[in-house]
Amino acid sequence: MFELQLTAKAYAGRPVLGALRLQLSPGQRLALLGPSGIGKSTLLNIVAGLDTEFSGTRRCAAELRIGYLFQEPRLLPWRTVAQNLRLVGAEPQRIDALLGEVGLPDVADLYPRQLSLGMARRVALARALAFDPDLLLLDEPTASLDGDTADAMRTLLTGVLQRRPELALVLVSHDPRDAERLTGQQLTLAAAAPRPPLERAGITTK
Amino acid sequence: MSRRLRDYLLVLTLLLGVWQLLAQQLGDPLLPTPQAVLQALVREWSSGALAHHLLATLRRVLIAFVIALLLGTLLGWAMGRSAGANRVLDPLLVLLLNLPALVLIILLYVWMGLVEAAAVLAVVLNKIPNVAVILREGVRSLDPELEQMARIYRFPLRRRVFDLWLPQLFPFLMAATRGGLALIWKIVLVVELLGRSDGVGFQLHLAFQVFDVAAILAYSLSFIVIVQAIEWCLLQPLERRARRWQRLGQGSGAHV
Repeated sequence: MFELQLTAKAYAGRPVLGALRLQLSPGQRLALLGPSGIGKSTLLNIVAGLDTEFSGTRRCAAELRIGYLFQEPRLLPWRTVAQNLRLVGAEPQRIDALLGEVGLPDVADLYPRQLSLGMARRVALARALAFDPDLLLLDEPTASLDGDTADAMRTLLTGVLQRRPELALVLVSHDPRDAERLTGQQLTLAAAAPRPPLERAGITTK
Repeated sequence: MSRRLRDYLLVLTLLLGVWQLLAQQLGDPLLPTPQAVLQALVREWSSGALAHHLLATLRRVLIAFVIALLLGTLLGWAMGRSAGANRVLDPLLVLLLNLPALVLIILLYVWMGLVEAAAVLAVVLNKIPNVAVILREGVRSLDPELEQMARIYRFPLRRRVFDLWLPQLFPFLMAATRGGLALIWKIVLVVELLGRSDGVGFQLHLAFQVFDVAAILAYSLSFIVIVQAIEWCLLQPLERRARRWQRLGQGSGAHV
């Protein structure tokens, strides 16, 4: 379904990521762990197809639908929650169900600025689900949330994934608890520099 | 809002008072009293001349404004998005920005003759660089993170335009509109004075030849009122509507 063969990724001449191979099939859940600044979000952007400036190949069907929960919710602030969902293609009658699934049944008519970060992130999750993705990318879904809110987010995500057995997942986090709750496979990214990127042990997952 | 209106009326009354006193003291026909201007206004209105010339000017202002806003936005878009386009077009922009309006008007009249197209084109060319400079800044400030989001969720062009770009460019379009109307109607007057046979500028020309200061003031004041009316009845309500999300977003909001 998805295959990434990365030889190297440099940013402004500085190596960020070394060689790694990533293969995903439907329903597969993978966590990439590592401290911040290690290039996890960069890797996620490459997987998403947003960052094409790397050496290597990325192969997936053109119709592969990717839902991306960015660390910042990235909702359109000038559109209401319901309009934000409509914009990715959610039919009006599905909006209540989607918001209900993320535990926010009453926010359809609010603007994103009226939401807390935790709520906005859940709306962003509802938007990703509204897109009917085959592959879901989660970038630090519990970062900047307090302990209870982070736990609630993990529980919510667990439920979402259980209801969609075919949905593939790539999770990026610095928090091992996210990985334990949500995925079966965990990979830890180690620092690429100062060794030349190609000498680094490649990560292969199947 | 009502306080603003009160202050506005206060300043206006004060100005009128100063004018009245000054005109009475001087007793010179070259500075007519407010009453004399009002009489000129009534005279021009009842003859139908005022409405005719105001409409002629207003039509030119609106046509030139719409064309300049569209072309200026496209130009600003190209220059804000592509460094190459910016390198090529920037010298042209600086040239147009620094070319006096009068020179452009004269040249176009000489080349194209005293025709309506030359008049409107002169105004458009004067305004385009202005819009382009403002919109270029707007386009450069478009949020790249939202751009990525729109790519991931495959926003079609129509949605990018109306849901992603226009809301971000709105303050810049508003600035270009405000500055644009004020600048354009002043240039339109010059264009009319030099080569048209209707419009406020043409009437000012006639009045100037006989030193009819009351008529000059009557015509210019009525057009100022029109521009002010556009601001109050069109631009401000539009702005309030478009900024609704910011007003509602203020304050603590709901939290869970």
